[in-house]
Order: sequence, then C-alpha cells, then structure tokens
Amino acid sequence: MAAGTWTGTMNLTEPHAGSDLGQLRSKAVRQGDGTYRITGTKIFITYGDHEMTENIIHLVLARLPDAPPGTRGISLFLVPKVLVNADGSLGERNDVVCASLEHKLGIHASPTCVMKFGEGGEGAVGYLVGEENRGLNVMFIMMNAARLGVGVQGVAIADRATQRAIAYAQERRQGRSAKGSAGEMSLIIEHADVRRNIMTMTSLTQAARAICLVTARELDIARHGLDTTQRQAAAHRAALLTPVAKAFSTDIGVEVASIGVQIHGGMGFIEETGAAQHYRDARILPIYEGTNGIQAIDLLTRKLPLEGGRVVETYIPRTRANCRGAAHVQPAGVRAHGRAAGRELWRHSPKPRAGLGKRSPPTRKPRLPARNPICDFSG
Amino acid sequence: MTYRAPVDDIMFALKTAAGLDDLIATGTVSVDEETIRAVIEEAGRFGSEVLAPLNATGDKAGARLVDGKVEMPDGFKAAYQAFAEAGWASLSAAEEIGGQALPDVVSVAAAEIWNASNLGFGLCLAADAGRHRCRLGAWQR
Repeated sequence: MAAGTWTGTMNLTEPHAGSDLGQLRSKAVRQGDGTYRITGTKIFITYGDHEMTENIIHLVLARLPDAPPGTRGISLFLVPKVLVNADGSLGERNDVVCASLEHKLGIHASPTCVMKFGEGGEGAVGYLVGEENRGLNVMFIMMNAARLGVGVQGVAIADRATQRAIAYAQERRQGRSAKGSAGEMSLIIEHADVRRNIMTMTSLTQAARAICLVTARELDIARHGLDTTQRQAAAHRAALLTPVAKAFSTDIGVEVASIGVQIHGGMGFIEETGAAQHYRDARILPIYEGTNGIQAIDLLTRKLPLEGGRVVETYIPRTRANCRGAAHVQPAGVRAHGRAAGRELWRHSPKPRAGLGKRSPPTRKPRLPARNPICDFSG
Repeated sequence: MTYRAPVDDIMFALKTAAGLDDLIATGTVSVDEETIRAVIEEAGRFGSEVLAPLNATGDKAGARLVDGKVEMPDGFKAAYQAFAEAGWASLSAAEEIGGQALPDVVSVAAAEIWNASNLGFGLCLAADAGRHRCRLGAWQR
C-alpha cells in the first residue's frame, strides 16, 4: 500500500451507527485457523470499490459474538478485496462487494459505496488488527491523522476557489469603480467590495493552512523529537490542535468557496464557471471524519482536559507570543503587507463626502457579536 | 482556469507558522529547505498537469456502478498509475514499508495540492497517512 499498488478504506459507519460507533452491529466470528469471518453492511465508504488498483484493503470495525456492549466491544479487521496467497500473489476474490453508490451534492468522482460483507455465505475473510475488543484504539490513531487530512482538504478547496475568483475578477468588467474613468467599465477587482471579499478569502485560507502545517509540525516532533519529554509534549499539542485544524479549515473551506461563487455574480451559480463545483465539493468537509460538532465535543471533553489542562494552558501564551513576534520580526513582510493592503483598499474605495464621517457617539453599548472565532472553535 | 500550486504561500507558512528552520536545525526534519521546495514544486506540476484537468470532467461524469463494479471517470485510472509510479503515494510512509519517510509537514503540503487540483481524486488517498502510521505503531504493539 505504501507503494500505491493497493489503496485502502476505513469502514466504520453503518446505517444506524454514524457518530455513535457503539451502536454498530457488523459481526466477526473466530475461525480455527486464526482468521475471522465478517458479515454486515457498511455505508459511506469512500473508494470502497474502484478499478485503479489490483487490490483494496478494507479496515472494518465489527463485533465478536462474546464482545461487551458499546464501544468496548469493537474489534478492527483487515479485509482484502482479493485474498493474498502465502507467496504474496493474488488469490481468490473475498466476499465483499459494493452494493450501490450514493448520489451526492459534490465530490462526484469519488465513489461513496454501500459495502456488503459476507452476503454470499459464511462471511468475508478478515484478519484481526491489534487486540480483540480494542479496535477503536487503533481506529482513533487513523482517525486523528484522517481528521488533519480533511482539514487540509478545506485549505485546498479554499485556495482553489480563491485562485478562480481572483482570475475572474481580473478579467470581468462591470460598473465604474472609484478610480475608474467615465465611459469605461472597470475590472470588478477594482471594486472595494470584491477586493474585501478576496482579502477575506486569502486571509482565511492562509490562516487555515498555517493551523494545518503547525499540527503537522507537532506530529513530526512527536515522532522524531530529541527526547521522550519533547515528543510527548508535541503529541499532546498535535492532539489538541487536530480538532481545531479539522473544524476551522473545513468551515472556512465552505465559507471561502461560497464567497468565490459570490464574486462570480450570476455566473457563479452556473456550473460552467467551476465556482459552483468548489462550493458543492466543499460542503461535505465539515461533515465527514466526525462532524464539526463532534470536533467541538472532542476539543472540549478530551483535548482541553489533557494533562489536567496544562497542554492548552501552555499553548495559549505560546500562540500570543507568536502573534506579538510576528508584528516585530516581520516589519518588511507581514506588517508592510497589511499596511499596503489597507492603503490599496482605501485608494479604491469611494471616499466619504465631508460631513458623513461626523456621527454622534453610539448611545447603545456595543453588543458582543453572535458569532466569533472563539465560538467557532468551541462549537 | 489552470490551477497553480501556491508554492510561495506554502513555503511562507512552513517557515513562519511551522518553524521549518528550527525543525531542520534540530534534526527533527532530515531534509533541507531546497529539497522540500523542490518536492512541493514538483507536486504542483503533477497537480496542474495531471489531476486538475480531470476535476470538472470527473465531477460531470461521476463514478458509476456497472455490473457490481465501480467504474471511475475517464482518465482517473491512468492518473492514479502515474501518481503511484512517481512515488507520490509513499511520501510520508516509513522506509521499512517502502516509503520515502518525508516529514508530515511535506506530506501535508503535498496533500493540499492533490486536493486542490482534484478533490474527487484526492479522496482515494485520504486515509493513507493514518494507515502508514498505524502499521508502524499500534499494529505492532
């Protein structure tokens, strides 16, 4: 699989067991030869079947007949599409089939399969991964990595949508911008609102990319750090950041793709511009690999209490120091960019007429915004 | 509209947010910055030339179930084979299982490029990093 000759899938979800894995019913029965026979139905299996590789390795969660109820009775099995002979050559077809494909809002090229295990007889041949009834522990390692992977998909779709919106805004002409000359239509990128939208897209994308790469950095230190203390601390920070990376990046993925449609105006709603596809594709990201609501629960109930709260307590001052550092270390870069962006925006904005700026002070106290980044992070 | 990998933006985030210089100096990351940039540029080329042209066509055609087998949209099988042959499927997998053992900061940067070029294609790789890690970690314990 590392060579890419085979691909793999993760089979968790069942029709009645989505986020609540304790409810799953797929069965595994021990055989005399150390293998197991798996029966059951799994849904939403990404690339559950395809013709791109000669074999597919399914990792399947199932329950042994004598397993305790709930999540403590779930085991993990490796079920190959094609059985592998002792000499490594491909043997018989295993009893696992794609029964149907889902019709989805987006990601149409990616087959989302209903998988049936053991429909034809006594069950699909499976091999135990790890220990019996400890399947979720192994699955959680994979899910954490997969959650960061989905966060990265949010960054990806956001960047693609931004590139498309900028390209369109640089060639489409409508109306007359503040600096436009009479009788000539301006490029829409010269309009203040379009520029503001593009800057929002760019900054959200870059922030999400930074969060994902910082999480990857912590994973690298967790594996190759200098000593156990350093590795353990990094593993904790990676665990803390993973739900943030997943939820923030996928939320902004949808938001940025939506702004991308907006910048295209009516054409954004028409499929041929491509902006609509990004929006449709992005919409799954806050849902799969644990909805963003589940990420919020993970952050609040499992990650914030890590090490008695010390992981997050030490992380926040670190991040604040980084922010202060960025303002001083990068005067030629970040700050200059910020000032230049502000000047550009001002240059292209309609100027207020005299008198308009003089407003009486607000009589009401400002209310807290209903939505802010802290609320987004913590659900 | 052609997709162009944001190589400068990715390198900027790697160097500032992810502290790449420090990762290299401490030996946590064992490849140098030039190599990392070269890998990301090359991934960008593959994404732009091979994967991005299949994004809209793959969306329109979709995967189909024919006689109990899934048929991918045109071009996907060849693209996957080219992807695997170029070694992109094994970027972060450990050397002992046939991977290239590049750090996660690089495989995450590359993953952005595959998914930006073609999210429908990128999904066939979605869980790979986790599986490689599992194979070395929990499976053996």
